Amino acid sequence: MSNEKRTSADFFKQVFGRTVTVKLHNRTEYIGVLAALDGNMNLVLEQCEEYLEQKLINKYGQILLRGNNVLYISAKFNQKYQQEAGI
Amino acid sequence: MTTILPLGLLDKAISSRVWILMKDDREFEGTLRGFDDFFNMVLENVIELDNGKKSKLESILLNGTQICLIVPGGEIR
Repeated sequence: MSNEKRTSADFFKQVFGRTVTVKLHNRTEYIGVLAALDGNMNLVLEQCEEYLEQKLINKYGQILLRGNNVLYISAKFNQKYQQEAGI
Repeated sequence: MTTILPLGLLDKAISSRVWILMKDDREFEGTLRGFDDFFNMVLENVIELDNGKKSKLESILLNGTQICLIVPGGEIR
């Protein structure tokens, strides 16, 4: 893993088109393909599933999420890491 | 005596583990890869602690608005 500083702008570039998990402050999670992202963390997710407490509650073709609600945006780059993470 | 600014301290913590406490008793521990003026942070190999439940995340952009405390070199207990 490189040691260069990665700011949010770099994270954005890496994460476009990937499947991300977005967790909101109210603990709702959205898993979908990242179509758009701006500096306010406003997002457009496609083929998105909405989870509350690990339970699927909704599916959407496309959603616009307002950035003020976002706690974090999580991306999976390495399939193998996911399997080893367990928990 | 040299002045250390808060973001300067954070800059020194890059590439090391940091422990982050949020306003609502959530905790994150991860390797700090970068941050910005708003304390949005890029973290890797993250452990999230929420209501006693731990989960692992590979790489996240953490929203800075709810961050309360950052401990360089710290860990979730």
